[in-house]
Amino acid sequence: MDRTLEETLRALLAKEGLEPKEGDLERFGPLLEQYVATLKTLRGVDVGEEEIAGTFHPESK
Amino acid sequence: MTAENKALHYLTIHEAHKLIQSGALSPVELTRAIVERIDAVDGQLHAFVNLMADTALEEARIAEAEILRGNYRGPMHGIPVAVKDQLDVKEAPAEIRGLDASAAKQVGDATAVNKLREGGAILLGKLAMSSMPSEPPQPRNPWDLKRITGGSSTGAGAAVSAGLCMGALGEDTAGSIRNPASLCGIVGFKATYGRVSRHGLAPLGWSLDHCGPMTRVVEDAVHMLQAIAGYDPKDPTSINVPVPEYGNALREDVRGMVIGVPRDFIALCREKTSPEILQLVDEAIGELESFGARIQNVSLPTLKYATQANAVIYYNEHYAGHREEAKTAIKTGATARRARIYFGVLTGSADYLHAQRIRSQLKRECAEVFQKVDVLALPCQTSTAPKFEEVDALDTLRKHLAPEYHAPFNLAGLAAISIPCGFSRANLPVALQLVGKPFDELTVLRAAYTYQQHARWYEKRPPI
Repeated sequence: MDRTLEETLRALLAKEGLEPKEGDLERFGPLLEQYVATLKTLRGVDVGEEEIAGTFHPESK
Repeated sequence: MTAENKALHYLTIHEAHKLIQSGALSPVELTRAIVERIDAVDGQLHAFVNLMADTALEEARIAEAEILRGNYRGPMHGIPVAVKDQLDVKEAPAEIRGLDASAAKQVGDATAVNKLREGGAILLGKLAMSSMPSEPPQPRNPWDLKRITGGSSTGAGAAVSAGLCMGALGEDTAGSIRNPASLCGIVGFKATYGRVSRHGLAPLGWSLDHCGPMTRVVEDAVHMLQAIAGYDPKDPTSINVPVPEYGNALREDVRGMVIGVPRDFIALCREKTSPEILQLVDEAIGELESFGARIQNVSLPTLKYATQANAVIYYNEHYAGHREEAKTAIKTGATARRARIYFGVLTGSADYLHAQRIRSQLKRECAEVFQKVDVLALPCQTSTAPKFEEVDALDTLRKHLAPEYHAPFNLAGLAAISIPCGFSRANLPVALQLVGKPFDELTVLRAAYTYQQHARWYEKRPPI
């Protein structure tokens, strides 16, 4: 697994009070790299003026 | 083959309810026949994780007595069904394969289960669900026991296909109803998000989870949906809109219906989709055209990012929803469960929100396309059921990270059905997917029913 990704994941897990199971980061390395690549791909999607908000729908009760 | 000379376990709900209503079939006799079928073949299929044969037979006796007294409740009365383990059933603590047992906030009966009971259905038990192919025994595909059923409603796919129940409740977050339905040769339907209550459903991703019927024919999906649909104040995402009479969908008529085909999206997935599947789906669309539908190519540019956006939302909502259990699950959880934790932790809030903005964009594009078309038609799988040795515990997660046919319609929350449209050269089921406008399940069901009645693939039985 990419070293920066591994360090980032370990830090994020520690922030959550978690530790990876032994061997997982090696085993899941390619999949986690694929996931991070997915996040990068999505960041490149132009969503224009799209916004999200909780809205009331008068027809719904 | 008529209902009268068909094995009882292969009667459809539609056939059985008429026989039960007329007094020609006893719910006890029917339930007993299905329990015998389970006893005979579930040792090979591994569909049930909790068989409640005794309580089912007792419920059948009660149903029979009610009907004899003239208190017939409707098409689900006396009909034996089963439920994916993800849904709460009061007599059967969830094993929740793939989740932690503690993740299941037991509520007694899930609303959908309760509604089936109110309709008089007989609860046979709970069905395996799994994203853990390493955990034996996994449900086997009735068309070839060496092959997977597809997940995660694995047991439901096997059980409905092989006549171990007349219908099942499944759950779909990224294709988990439609995928096993397509691989097992049955009908799988998720209605519009908000139409069927999620109360009592162990959450995978709150905003993506859909509970729905898995059946052998469209008519049965209609009967089950009619029983479970409707507003539920216990589910904060339930929508209070009138529930139509879904039986109105059971007419063979697509004349004038406009069917949109997202050709550019199908082309994007073409490389990984079996040519046999593309051909059979094209033939099915052609048949709908020959029955009077108009076929129109449509473009939904955001579809190409929708599977990945669905995954980002799924894994973040899953992590947030099960954060308390993560400490245990990361040590003892199954492979896919642990991978979901890593995905959830890796995703920042900006990424989650960006995925939600992609979702908004997709919904807007869908709304525009549905101004011009009545339903969308596209494949429902990239391959037929693979052999167990061809997949591993992380395959489902990999599938979620590249464009495919299921997840976009969880992201958009649209009604979507998987309906058999033929068999591969290896005699494995292939399905057509039809997708409808928000809360317009009727049109989707009508198109599916019309196709089904002409194609009649449901007449073919698995060899088991």
